Amino acid sequence: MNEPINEYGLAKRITQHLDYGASKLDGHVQFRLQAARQHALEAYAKPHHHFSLAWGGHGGRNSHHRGHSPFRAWLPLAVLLLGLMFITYWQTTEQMNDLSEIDAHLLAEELPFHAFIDTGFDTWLKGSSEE
Amino acid sequence: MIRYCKVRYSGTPQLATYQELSNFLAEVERRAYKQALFAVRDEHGALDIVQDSMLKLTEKYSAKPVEEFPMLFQRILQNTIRDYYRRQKVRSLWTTLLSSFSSHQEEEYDPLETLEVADDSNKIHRPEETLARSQVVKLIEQALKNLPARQREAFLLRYWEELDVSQTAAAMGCSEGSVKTHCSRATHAVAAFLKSKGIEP
Repeated sequence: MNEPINEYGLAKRITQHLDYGASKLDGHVQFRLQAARQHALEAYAKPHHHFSLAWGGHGGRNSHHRGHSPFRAWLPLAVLLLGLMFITYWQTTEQMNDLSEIDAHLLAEELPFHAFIDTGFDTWLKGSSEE
Repeated sequence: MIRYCKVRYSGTPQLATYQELSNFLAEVERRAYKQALFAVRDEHGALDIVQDSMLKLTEKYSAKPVEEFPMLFQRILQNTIRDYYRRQKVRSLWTTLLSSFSSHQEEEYDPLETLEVADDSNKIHRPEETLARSQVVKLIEQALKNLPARQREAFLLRYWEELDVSQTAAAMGCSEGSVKTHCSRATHAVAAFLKSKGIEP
């Protein structure tokens, strides 16, 4: 029959010895643990969980110890949007310029405008080119 | 020993800063290594497990309040140890299969080449007391290694990591009753082992 023992007290005495053992680790183990910790902490600096663009700062999680302005994170997005707006505007303007150029050519032609929508004229053109 | 989680203030949980995370990892790394070593009995494997666990905590949970780190880290550590067991199992299966095709290699294998001799040279000149304590530590570590995995896990989480019963149960993925049973059995088993070696715990 086992004698009743103070489990918690005994366990704490055992863990005191374990603490002592853990404080006497070999130098190379301590070095590897330190390297592992540094490696893990490097991952903390990388933006994994928050949306941000490459040069827009890390925002969110790290902003409290980096002191970045929240505007900096959104700056690239704003520039991208402005760029898209400019491209759309430029394409629309180009298209209008092309159309007005075609109109100008049509109006400046000696051939009357009705000739282009006349199917008989089209048949005559084909026939004359075959001859 | 007062653990990191217990010196924090209470109140509204705040997200961990870089420094808090760094302090937590520095505080927990040695015990984590020892825990992994008891479980896998391989120094390099244990170091890899600790590194993986630290990385997982940092990558996935660093945005959590620092008060949650001890439990989260222990959960990650125990899962990483279990993953290591699984990988070892698969590896040993393949090794067994492959070695059955190439039995001649066994003849060339010399176990003495891989035997690691404990370097006790630096302990010769230490005071007697230190040596005696080191021997007790070795015996306790041996007793812990001999425990069933779940009992060891419960004992270390509950008493060494100072998690409470519910946190230990959450980290181990079992009921609080199981934690109490495992802890009790583990404590009795370690005490019995030490007694058998002539040490009164």
